[in-house]
Amino acid sequence: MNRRLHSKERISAYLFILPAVLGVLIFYFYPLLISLFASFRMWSGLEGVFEAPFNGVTNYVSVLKDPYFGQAVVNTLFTMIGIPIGITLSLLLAMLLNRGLKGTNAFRVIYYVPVVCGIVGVTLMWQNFLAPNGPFNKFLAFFGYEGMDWLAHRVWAKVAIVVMCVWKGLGYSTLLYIAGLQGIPRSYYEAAKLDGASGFRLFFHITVPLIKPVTFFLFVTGIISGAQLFTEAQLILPAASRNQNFVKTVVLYLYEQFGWGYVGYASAVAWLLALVVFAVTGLQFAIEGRKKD
Amino acid sequence: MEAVEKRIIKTAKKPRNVSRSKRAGDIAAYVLLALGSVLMLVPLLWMLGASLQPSFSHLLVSPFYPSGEWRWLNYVDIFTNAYISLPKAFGLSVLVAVPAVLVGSYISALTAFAFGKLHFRFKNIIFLLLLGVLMIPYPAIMLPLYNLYAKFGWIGTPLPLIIPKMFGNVAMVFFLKQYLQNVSDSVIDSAKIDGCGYFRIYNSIILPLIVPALAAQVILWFMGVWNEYLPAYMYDVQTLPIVVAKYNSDVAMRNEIPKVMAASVVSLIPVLAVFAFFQRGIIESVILSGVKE
Repeated sequence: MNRRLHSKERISAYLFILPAVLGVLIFYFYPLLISLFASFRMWSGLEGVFEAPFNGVTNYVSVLKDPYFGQAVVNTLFTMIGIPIGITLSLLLAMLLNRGLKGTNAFRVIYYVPVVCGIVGVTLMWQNFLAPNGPFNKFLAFFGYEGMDWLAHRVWAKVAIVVMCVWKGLGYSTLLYIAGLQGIPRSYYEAAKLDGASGFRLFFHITVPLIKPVTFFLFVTGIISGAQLFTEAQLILPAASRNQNFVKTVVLYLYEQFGWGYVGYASAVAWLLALVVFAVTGLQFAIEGRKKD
Repeated sequence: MEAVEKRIIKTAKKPRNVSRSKRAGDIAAYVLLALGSVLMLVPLLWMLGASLQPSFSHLLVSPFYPSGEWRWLNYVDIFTNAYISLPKAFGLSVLVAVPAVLVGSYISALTAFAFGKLHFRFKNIIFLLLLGVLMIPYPAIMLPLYNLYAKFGWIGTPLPLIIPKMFGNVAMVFFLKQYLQNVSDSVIDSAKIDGCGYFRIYNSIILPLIVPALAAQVILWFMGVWNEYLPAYMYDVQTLPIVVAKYNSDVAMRNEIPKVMAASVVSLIPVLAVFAFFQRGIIESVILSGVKE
């Protein structure tokens, strides 16, 4: 009797997880493997992967030798300076929002608005906001500074992406910090205050160390999503003046190669990206595992 | 003795000092939060204003707010203009997001139920396999997926954005499985004694119990799918973000900028409406999943 009940439970469970398992195999693991195979072949994407001629690590070597790829890596890394900036700002914001002020909820909503906004609408908005005749330059002119065509400049175009990403992501990381701050027992601060610790020391000796898991999480997810930056870089420049090399990220480079029919080559780029993401994730697990011991 | 006396005096004095410095801190916090809110909202408000201008040259007149003329017809224009076919794109975005998210969420919750409450062999290994998906960067799998969908004849149709999601969402499975830990097994056991099958237990007991957690997850996922760009771009699906981005790059003349801004506003309105309606639940849910992280 008991055994029959258990087998019924088991069969139901397998049926329930079947769609998710199938979905993961078909739409994630299968393509991941195929792109690994493709990365060692001269594949145009038109024929079957295994009909394409095998060419060893040639794709990887040529990717790593291509100065345009190097530029794409530099551009991608550049946009990541937004990560520490966003983290610092959101921790400060979270502390302001954690004082129990009236209207805190309204502020949380306001700061979260850019997070929910679609990346396309937001990027087009920033593109026009920063245009030579746009409101940002008008604002500068109001104070007597002369603006410029920010998005046509090698460095400022990237800075524009950083600013936009920080602006858009601030609300999310602030919420995670608020959650973290609420987990710090109030008594720690009270005890330290009785010992005469200044606000400065409370921040650096209690808040910062105890909030480290959130900071760490934001850093890791920031690097992982930053490495995959695409839409912002593709759409920030106005159509007329698109010298995309200034802002071409690794994924934009990958997409370009795919568009030219170098799918095997693009797969090598894809796997280099995947390896970086796996390494960062592995590091995260290793560090978190060590902490738990 | 003297030291003790000093200390008593110090602590006696404290409340007034603390409350005074706290009030000063609160005022400073309000000022900073208000300034930040302005920075968060000004670009979006500018976009709204720009979308109502008769022409680009009206945007050039004065520093921030160009002219007093509001041209609501811009919105009528972009909806009737055959060039951008906004109504079609809007309909397609709804067609993609609603069934994909509803079916996918139902399947995700079913999967979470199996992993959280049922007993079967290899449970942990299979669960780890599912979680592995969270590490895979999308660009690493999108090239073989393109080929797969081309084989299915799906390129240019909305199917690549709908079907894979219907197999469930791993992040949601993870979150709901955690949430199910709060649901006691006794509910399930008593239903089993009454002779309920597991599928019925899921539909009539588990699903209603997790609705609060599920609803927030459904909304967050819906907003994500609505804003999705790279997959739609990759598989040539003319959803709202794609059409709006294309409209922007097609208008060579800057005169059309107000209409581009209007189209961007239209693409943001659904998510902003959903956010306005469910903001409390959304923010609580993000904080909650942050705590769990």
